[in-house]
Amino acid sequence: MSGLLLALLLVVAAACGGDGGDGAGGAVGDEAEVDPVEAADRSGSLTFAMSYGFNSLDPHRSPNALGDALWMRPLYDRLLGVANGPDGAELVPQLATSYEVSDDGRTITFELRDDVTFHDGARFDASVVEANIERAKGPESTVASTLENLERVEVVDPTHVVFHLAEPDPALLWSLAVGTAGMMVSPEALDRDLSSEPAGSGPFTLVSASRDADVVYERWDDYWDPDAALVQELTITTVPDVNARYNGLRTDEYDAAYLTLPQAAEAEQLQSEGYHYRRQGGPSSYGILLNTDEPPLDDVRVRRAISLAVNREEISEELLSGVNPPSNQPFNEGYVGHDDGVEVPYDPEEAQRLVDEAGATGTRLEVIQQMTPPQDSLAQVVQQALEDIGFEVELTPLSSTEARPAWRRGGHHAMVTPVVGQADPSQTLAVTYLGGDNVGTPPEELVAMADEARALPLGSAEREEAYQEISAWLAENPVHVPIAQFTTVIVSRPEVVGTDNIVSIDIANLEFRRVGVTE
Amino acid sequence: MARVLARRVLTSIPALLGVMLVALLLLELMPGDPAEIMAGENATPEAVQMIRDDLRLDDPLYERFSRYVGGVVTGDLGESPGSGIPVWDRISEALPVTLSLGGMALVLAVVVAIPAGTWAALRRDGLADRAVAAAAAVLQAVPPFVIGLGLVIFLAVERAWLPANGYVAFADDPYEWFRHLILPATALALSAAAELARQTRGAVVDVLEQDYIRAARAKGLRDRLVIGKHVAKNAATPVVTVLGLQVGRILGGAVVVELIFGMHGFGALALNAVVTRDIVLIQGVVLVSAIAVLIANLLVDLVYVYLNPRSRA
Repeated sequence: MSGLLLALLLVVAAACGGDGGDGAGGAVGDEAEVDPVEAADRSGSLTFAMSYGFNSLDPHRSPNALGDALWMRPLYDRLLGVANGPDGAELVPQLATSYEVSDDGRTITFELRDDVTFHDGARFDASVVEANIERAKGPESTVASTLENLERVEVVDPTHVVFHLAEPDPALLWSLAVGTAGMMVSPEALDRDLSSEPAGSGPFTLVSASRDADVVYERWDDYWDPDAALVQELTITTVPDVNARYNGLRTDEYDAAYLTLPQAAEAEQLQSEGYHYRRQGGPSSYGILLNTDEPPLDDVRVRRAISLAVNREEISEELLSGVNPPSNQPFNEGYVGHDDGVEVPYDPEEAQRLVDEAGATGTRLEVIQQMTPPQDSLAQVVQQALEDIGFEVELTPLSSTEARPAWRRGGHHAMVTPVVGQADPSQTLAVTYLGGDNVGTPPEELVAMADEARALPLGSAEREEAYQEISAWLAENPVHVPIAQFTTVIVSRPEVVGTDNIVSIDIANLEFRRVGVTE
Repeated sequence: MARVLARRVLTSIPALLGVMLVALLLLELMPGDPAEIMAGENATPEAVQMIRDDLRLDDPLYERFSRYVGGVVTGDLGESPGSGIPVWDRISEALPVTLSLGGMALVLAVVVAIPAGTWAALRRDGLADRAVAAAAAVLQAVPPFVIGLGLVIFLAVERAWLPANGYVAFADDPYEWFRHLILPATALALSAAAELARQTRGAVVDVLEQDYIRAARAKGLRDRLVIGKHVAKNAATPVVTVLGLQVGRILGGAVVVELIFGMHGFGALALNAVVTRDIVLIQGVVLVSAIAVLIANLLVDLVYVYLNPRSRA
């Protein structure tokens, strides 16, 4: 799968059930684990096999910042981090020890650590935050859009900064924690091209970086958290073929690997040999993007019919080997806004009736088929389902690099692809339902509900309820049609400890803090 | 010989220029704006414009072409936008892997195929001939990745006799270098060997029917001498031609085989270039592949000259 695509799918996720049980949307994996801090051999080394390589190690200027985040995480700290908590992923302190959002939601005050040194010896303080945000919003930045709402950074004293926002945007905290926009670069290196020579304060320093082979990191012994890096050497190796990653894992060449289907399903059996199998649900779903401006899809009955025509259970079980649980709403299980009460039955008769009622029977739909597994096969299943309820469907096969730009140019009815979700429901709505991947005009009602929900304080019950309401509304009045939740499967050798910490939320957000190997 | 070499090198230049033009045209032929594609979906207009300036996409084609040719001549294949890494650095990092793999595959193919083909020809229509023909047919039909996967599962994963993945530089550890290459080189060599064996058999059979062979035998020369001296040299021409063609095929096959064996070679680089939409790198990969095939053809031509003095004219 391409780096770009992964980045899209994996864009930042959040809140996954970290209960270790076999929850549909939550994590599947080991139960009780030993404490990695105690068990790890600090002189050990860990090799992780990934499916694609990186472009750049510059957090603010990488052409594929989301995809490259994985390689930058060992090297750079952010103000806030993400960790698996009891109720899913949660924001945790990193360079900021705490934060406070004002009552009107327009300012966020961070208290900063005072004991942080960059690898190059420069000190971290509030003025460094200001300079970094300026860089991340600068003309050469590729991540500026994430910080759109952030108007100004005010330095109060060396350990306090205030972020002034144009409008209340609680999700900004998630953006800072999961993307690369919130990564802090040494003040000595702000003007430099960091694509090959990073300058961070993270738990590892860079030994060597090959875009096509191995990226090797070494523990930085002066790091402020002595338990963050539990291995002496960390290697992320690029192995595009999932078979090769799987075989390398079984022959001990890799300690951990990112697996996709079909090996993602097959590897579950390795648990009997002591391997750790982690499967974590993300905020994105495989599904169908619809163009609501393109008749007959401008009629909500037709969109609802499409949602009813898809047999989610069967697709999840058969086509996706049970690795991706069914998904019927914009916010997946384990994420803010998910509503357990939502039900979208498989009902082709009702679907056909709705299509008839809308006078759309026999209409030809042009559907983009993304030629990356499993979306390519999923598109064929969808084609059959839509033909069964009275449409004529023409698939346009496009490569993963061509598909999304073609979709965004408009002119197609639908695309079978990951329906991208993000850490926070407001971001999911923004990128997929209101703008971005939604090439049609969003329903007025949705716009109004989204506007109201966005400013509600992070973590509040009102916010949860407001987004649940949107989730239920969108299940009844679909804009797009989610089918099965995207999951990330990481398998590691028995000797690896702290595997629960590997998938903090998603693959691009994979982090190797508190992950080690026993002797 | 030197004159032949000079002439062949000169005639390769137009081909090389053609390849460079095609490589450059890749940018033009892509649907959409190359700068936008390379910049990624979330890029600001400024970032797109920077790539556009970097690649000088606004210049006329002939200017870009002459600049590209000038760069290639001085060993500069450009830089990947956004990373600032010279393309040549990445290619030169990957080339030793593929050269080792391809070289060993070629050696393996020759070592297996030429004796097998000769043996089959000498026992024409006998059991050996049929066996070689059958094996060749099967091996030619099975794609290298199937053979590769089979080898990995049986010899690396289930039995741990050989490593399943990776590559160790010869300079670091010659023994491990060899061990890591056995499986991928075998996977790559088998279909080449099959074709080579068939060609060898055909060529040897042809030569064996020639009058001069009959004369040599009638003269009382021993079989070993007849085959070693008269048959081998005369049958070699078609075999060398096929061998030359295999270089291109092995290079193509290496893309898949390197993937299966997790080797960071030229094939994996080519794939990564496509996946990351790094058009400058794709151009470099196309150019270097073309040069490799041109060099192979050149070597074949030189061997012809050696084998057949008449072609020196």
